[in-house]
Amino acid sequence: MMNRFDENTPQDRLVARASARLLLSAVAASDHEPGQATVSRADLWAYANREPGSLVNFMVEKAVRADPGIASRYHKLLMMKSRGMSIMAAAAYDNSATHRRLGDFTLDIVEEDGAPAALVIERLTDGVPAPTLIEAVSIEGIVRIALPAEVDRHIVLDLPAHDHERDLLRLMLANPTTGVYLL
Amino acid sequence: MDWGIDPDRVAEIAEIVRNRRFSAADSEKFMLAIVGGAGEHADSMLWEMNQILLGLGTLLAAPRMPPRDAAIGCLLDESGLLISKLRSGKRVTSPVGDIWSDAQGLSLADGDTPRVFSWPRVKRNMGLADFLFMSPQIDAAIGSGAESLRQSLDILFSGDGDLVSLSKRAVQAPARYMRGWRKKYLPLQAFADLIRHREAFLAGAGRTRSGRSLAHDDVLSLWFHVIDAGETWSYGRFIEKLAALLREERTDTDRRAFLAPVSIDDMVTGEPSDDPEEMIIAWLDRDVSALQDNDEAGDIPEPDDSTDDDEAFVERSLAALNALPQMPKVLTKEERREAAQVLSIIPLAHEQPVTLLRSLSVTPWENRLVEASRRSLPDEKADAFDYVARIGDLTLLDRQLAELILMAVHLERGGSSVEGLKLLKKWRHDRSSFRMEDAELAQTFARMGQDLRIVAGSLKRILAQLGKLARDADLQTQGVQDEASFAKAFSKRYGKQTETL
Repeated sequence: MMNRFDENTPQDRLVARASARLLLSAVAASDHEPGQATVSRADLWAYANREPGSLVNFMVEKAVRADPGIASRYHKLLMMKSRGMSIMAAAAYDNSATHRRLGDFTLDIVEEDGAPAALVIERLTDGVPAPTLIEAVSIEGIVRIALPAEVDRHIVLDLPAHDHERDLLRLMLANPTTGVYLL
Repeated sequence: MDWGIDPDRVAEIAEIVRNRRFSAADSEKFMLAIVGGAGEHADSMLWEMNQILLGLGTLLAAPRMPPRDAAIGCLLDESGLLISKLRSGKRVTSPVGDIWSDAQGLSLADGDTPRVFSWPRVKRNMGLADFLFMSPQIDAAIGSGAESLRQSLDILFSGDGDLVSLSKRAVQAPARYMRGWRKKYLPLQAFADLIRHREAFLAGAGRTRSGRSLAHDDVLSLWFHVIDAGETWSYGRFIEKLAALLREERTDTDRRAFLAPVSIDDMVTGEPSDDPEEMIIAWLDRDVSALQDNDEAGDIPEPDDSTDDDEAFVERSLAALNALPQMPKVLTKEERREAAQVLSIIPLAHEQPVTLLRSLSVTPWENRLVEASRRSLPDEKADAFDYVARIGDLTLLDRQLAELILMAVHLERGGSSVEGLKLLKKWRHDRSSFRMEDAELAQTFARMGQDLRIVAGSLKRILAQLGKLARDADLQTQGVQDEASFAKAFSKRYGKQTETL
């Protein structure tokens, strides 16, 4: 169908309403009892909105890492929140996982001899606001770091080995299954 | 039970309906929105949802909570606490138009006459957004419901356009998702097929113009016809579909009961206006007891927009059953299933007691046959069609419901009747979930009182018909005859000899 709104014809309406009644029957007969979630939606949402470096709710962090159901819900939340568009699967590029395309942005790890590693984010599209946070989620952990201001379409974040959190981020970005979100 | 709708999807919808404490009327409208039958076109509910997301996000935005995130918070908030605070009023003049809230509802104006969404309507629309949030990926091209919602939010909060153009453009992604969902999960085609088969059956009997209504033996013959035509519907599923279709056709002239506009509710104004940021923090920090308190305060029932006529009453019975809480356990799984099986085939259950008895008797047998044929097990023996026993089962269920209503009345009147005390003691002994304070139990009963009465009322009317049948007809002979008819049909249908008792 090409038209944006499907006009409901009388026959469609009859069939749709009859289907609604079937759905109602199915829901009424369903003995599904909502399981007691270990982490509430409010807790998960608060966690998704935390400031980098603030006190973390470890219960939530643990659940996100251990419970696949909670993890997938958390991924959905970050996906909905992330304005710059970011997706979890890595795009392997010249055999390394250190280059990724995240919607309107690209992300690279630059490692040169003698200098500490750096994360470089480039904005590809005009009129898109720059991200202020980066979050990485993998089996290694969950890291959220504030990003410096954009300069000339580029954001550069040093990843020195002595900084535990940033070093962990460097490690995680090398893992193609890490979820990366620009927020 | 096999309804032809994916049980995981049913569970998702049930969770939304229960966690958000949808009333019977809310549930009906919510289901209509999901199947795309709620408005002039299939996507009108999504357009409405978008306007509401835009309005709520704008009103609840705060320094550390951008409007887009505030909108996500609202759709996640099952308790409705975030939204309930807006009842005391707030106004924002934004680049996309004027947006304000008051006791009546949420209003958006873009120069023109404002659109007002009543609070129950806002609540249902957040349920719809939650449905999208929860729903799975259809395929690689369409993606998940949450992805479509993200695309909507991107457009809604881009600031690029006015209210109307933003909310219209933002409809596209979720509309595409919902079309994919319906195509994958809803048995729409089956209805079209059923209509076709019925027309062929009536034409074969020379009844295209007059005599179109089906008596109970016609219903059975129609099923034989459908099976001969190669459909694989079980008798139980066929009866459910036929009943749903009949209900639809009857209310076609007057569907006020199902599609009544939400009346503007008499909401009590909440506390004086709060800082939205504080509200959000409060919501995030709230503990379970606070949640319960707020739920009760905010749970002012929507005025019932159903009419008093009989049709509207039976229409609501399933939704009412659905609204009965899981805790305390007013109905066990088995009782809930039994009640749903009966109520879901109204009006046939009511008008054709024989059809109801056939359906109740044949379903477990046919389920076993299906299972046996799937796993190539040896032939299944027929069940004896003991119609008197089936009526006995339903009488027992009816009595349980009567006891629940008695307890509700007892608690409502201060808990002093001897009979009520006895019943409470018995139920608390039998079901541990009833072992709570009288005051708490009274509140639970007060909330479900209406629904309990609707379910019990429908069941009682059906039982009255069954009682009449039991007096007038020879149920034993009828049972033996029916058992033979089904045995014959099943031996053809499942390709094996079925041994009758």
